[in-house]
Amino acid sequence: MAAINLKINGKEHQIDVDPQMPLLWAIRDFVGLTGTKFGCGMAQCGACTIHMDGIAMRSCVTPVTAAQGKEITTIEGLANGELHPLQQAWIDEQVPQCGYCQSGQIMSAAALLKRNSTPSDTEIDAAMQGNICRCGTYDRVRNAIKKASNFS
Amino acid sequence: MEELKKSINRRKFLKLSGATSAVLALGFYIPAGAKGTEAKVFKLDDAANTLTNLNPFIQIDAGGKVTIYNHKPEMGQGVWQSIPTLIAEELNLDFEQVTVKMAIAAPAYGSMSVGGSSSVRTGWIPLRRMGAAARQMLLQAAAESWNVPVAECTTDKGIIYHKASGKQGHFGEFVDAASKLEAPKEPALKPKSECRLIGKKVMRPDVVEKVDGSAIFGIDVKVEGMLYATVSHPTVLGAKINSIDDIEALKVQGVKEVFEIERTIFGNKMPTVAIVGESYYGVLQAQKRLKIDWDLGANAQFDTAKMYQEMNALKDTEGAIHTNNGDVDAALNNASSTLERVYETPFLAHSPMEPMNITIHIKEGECEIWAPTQVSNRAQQEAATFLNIPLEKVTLHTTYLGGGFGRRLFTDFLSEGLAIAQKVNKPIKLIWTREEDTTAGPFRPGMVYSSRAAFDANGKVNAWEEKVIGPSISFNINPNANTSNVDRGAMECISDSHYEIYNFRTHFVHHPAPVALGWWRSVYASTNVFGHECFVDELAEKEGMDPMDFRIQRLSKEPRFVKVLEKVREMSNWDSPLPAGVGRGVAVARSFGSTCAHVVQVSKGDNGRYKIDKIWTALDCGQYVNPDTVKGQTEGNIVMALTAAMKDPITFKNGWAEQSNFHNYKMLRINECPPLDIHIMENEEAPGGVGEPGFPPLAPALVNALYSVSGKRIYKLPFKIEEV
Repeated sequence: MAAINLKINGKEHQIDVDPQMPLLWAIRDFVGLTGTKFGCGMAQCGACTIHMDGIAMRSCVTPVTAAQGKEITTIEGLANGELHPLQQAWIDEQVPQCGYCQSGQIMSAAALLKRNSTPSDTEIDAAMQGNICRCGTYDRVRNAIKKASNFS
Repeated sequence: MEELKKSINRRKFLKLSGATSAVLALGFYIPAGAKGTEAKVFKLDDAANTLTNLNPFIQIDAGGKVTIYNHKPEMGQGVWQSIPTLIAEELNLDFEQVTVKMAIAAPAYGSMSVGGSSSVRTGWIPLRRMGAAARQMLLQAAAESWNVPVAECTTDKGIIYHKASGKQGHFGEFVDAASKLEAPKEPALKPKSECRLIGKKVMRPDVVEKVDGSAIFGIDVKVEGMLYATVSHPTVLGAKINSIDDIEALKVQGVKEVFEIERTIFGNKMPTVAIVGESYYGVLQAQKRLKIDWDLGANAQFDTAKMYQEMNALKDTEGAIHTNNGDVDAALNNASSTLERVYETPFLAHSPMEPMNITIHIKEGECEIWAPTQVSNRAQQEAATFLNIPLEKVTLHTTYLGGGFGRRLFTDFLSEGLAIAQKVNKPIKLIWTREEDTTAGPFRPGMVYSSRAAFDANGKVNAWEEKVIGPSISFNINPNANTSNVDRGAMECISDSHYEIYNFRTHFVHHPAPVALGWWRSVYASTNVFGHECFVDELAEKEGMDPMDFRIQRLSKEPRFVKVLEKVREMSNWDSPLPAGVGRGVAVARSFGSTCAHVVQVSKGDNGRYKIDKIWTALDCGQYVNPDTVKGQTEGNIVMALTAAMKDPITFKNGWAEQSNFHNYKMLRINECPPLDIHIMENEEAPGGVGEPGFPPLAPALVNALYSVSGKRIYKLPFKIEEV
């Protein structure tokens, strides 16, 4: 066990956990933010995607120690007073079905738009192929990203 | 005493419904054995006396606030909007005026199960009638208060009007008077032309919570003082545990206990090892250090390669005959030629994105459960039976489900959670790993399908024999089943093929599988229609006919089939010539009360590999609630069917599943999802299912498309498109 300091969505948290614990469980079970999801535990599905200093990361394979001193953003911190344009586009396009993978989908898309505000279809596919949606909302994910991007 | 009982019941009801002041609460009670169309309307006063029979679907308080209790688990299929809409429509409300809450499990809600694409179909009349009854009672109360004829009163968006006198008032003003009226038994429903919500795209209220991280799924539930648990399972039935070495596991900090429990999956019991501790990460670490000596017993050699050989060898046995029209044998004996083909479809795991989980708090003589389940009533009943406490002592909250697809029709994880919570005497949250979800079942059964056809002297097909060969889900879950019978469920889409071929016979040839089996999205339609519709393509070819023309001709007495086929013909420009290297395929099927046709277009890329360019779909689901939900479900069916056709199977070797997680049990990803064009047919027919009918015809349409351009027929799923 070790005292770990995490800055999540602009707020400092100190937790006492195994330093090897993946960030996912620290966020969900110790900080108490449950929007970030567990899907596979091996960086295959993307449900656990968060931002670390603005870059999309799979929190299920990121040790909690690697997150110290970094700015962590989860789905709960994406909106800044008002919904992120992607969240609004997700509502407009009625993207989610069960919704379980959608936090991860949106976080991957937000990281994409941060570095490329006008992604092509190919660039969207490349950035989003780490996120599985078993309900099959891919067509709408693509449409929502285009809607939220500067193309619209 | 009676008074006291009444007041307790009333308090309990108020607690149950969350009401704090005078309300009009309406429900309908479906007596056991009733068909479910007779809605009885309750008022709050009745409720106090007949609490267990009451199911408050609608609650209108004195301020006019309308709350509708959705009784169907939301797993992505859209019931959170479609079910309340059926009620709100008849109340003439805008959907935004309604607060939707999840109903706590109670038998009086009738079926709180979601499966078989049935929610809107079964709720269509009773739920609308309930809304209409509430509206009529409110109008009656207003008319009496204003002393005007009720026929002159109208309501719109929660306001009641009497135009002639200029009087108006909101619902809440009349709630008290309305609750004293007799409820109408069969109130008239609005005609389709007057519907403002049904048939319209309405934004789903759950979507907002699903984009900001606030939606609570089962896995997100937290109970003060709870412990975390995970479980390890065998793959095969009949396994036993020789020994558990937990020495290293118990060294993990915070890990409390390791013990054996029993997993109940309908009629099958499987030994399970539970690991309990203070954090989920801790129990995951402990699980990896656990050494379990499994005795797989008679199924230690279970192997899919061998099982498919055995199933293929059964194609010339009779099995149990189901449909039998005309004289198939005579037609085959006198045929100018015959055609015989065999098709294989794999075992599959459901793999909803949210792993199985449950949170349970057993208290003194009662129990509270948070369950992502497709069967809220059954889960409540099973918990009461397990704990030997009255049903009403089990409070079961249905959370959002992170996908279902049939997996959560099984309550095995509930049986495990109850055993764990009872043993450790603390609230627990049990979460399966993805590995357990992939390897422990229940699986979609792997099947073989064989077909034989006879052609007459004119080269026209005049007899068809179809055999469904493989495991029966209903025999699997019921060890006492008579396995020499036909499993009618396994004959989905086969027993009535709809094609006009008079001499027609179907068989079920049982071959068991020693793993837990389950209903998987569209169930046997997902396996049967592949062979069935691929074979139809070969029948058309042998008759020298275009596959679209052949289907339309042989289905000419089935106008709903013909219409969806004609629609996809038009959408896909079927009759236009295609450039070299491009092909199209079609397939059609009716399942779960709806008819769906797909045309898939494929082309050969510069790298010499085939890819899917586009899919056109026409779905006839009769009348529907939300066209955007229907479209979304169909998109989902297509993506899931592409995964089932082209990604990984579940295979077994030496009694274990060979796939374990998304690295070797892969799912279709966004870059592999082709553009989709989905059309919903407009008509006045009764509602059909929506959650499954888009699935069955997709794989055959794809395989037929690949044949049209490559000349290569595919008889086994899954296949790799890059190898065609």
